[in-house]
Amino acid sequence: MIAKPIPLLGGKSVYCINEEQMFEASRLREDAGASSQKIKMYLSEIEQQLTRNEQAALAFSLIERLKTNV
Amino acid sequence: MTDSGSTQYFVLETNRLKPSAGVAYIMITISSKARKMLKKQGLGGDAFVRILVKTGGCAGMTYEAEIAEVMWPGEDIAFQDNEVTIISDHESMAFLNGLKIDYSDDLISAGYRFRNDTNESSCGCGASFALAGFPTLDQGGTSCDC
Repeated sequence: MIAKPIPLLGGKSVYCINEEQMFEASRLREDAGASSQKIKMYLSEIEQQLTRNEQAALAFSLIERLKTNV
Repeated sequence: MTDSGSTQYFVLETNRLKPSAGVAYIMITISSKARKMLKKQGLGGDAFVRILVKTGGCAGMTYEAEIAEVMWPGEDIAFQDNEVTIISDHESMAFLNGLKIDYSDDLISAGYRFRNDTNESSCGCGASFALAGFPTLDQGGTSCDC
């Protein structure tokens, strides 16, 4: 017997990213001198050392921290 | 059963129970992985999956889904096979035909994925979509916290 309904879709979406934000992120990563070098260095290291789910957990954690520490 | 890439879908061909008079069964396909997870989360016995469509979400329309045991007034059987019964209300049923339900344990797209190729676009969250050629929905619904 199910005491109360069990939700299946994980609740509301949070921290959506729009196209303009993604465009700016790409620009910073690819075409912003020293910033691009730093971003690429960390990206490369993270992608080598963390699993796919660990990378996702890190990305979500960073977004949450950035959003809550404006 | 058909094979779509790495995901196997069971396609409904026969139905055991009939819905209320005037209500037609709709085509919903559920991957083996989604079926396994539904059972793990409590599907079985008298339990069924309730799927509703409401306005809201990143792309304009959103699915709501839960495992439950008590039907609400205005609801009917939308789909049923040997393992899964899906209940919906009459307004939502118009949007469920062609729905494919999958499950991903990849964190970036984790959980149940609802896809309907007849929709115009869908959101990365897997629960929100925009319509193409469907009727509009008048009822209120959830919104996303973007």
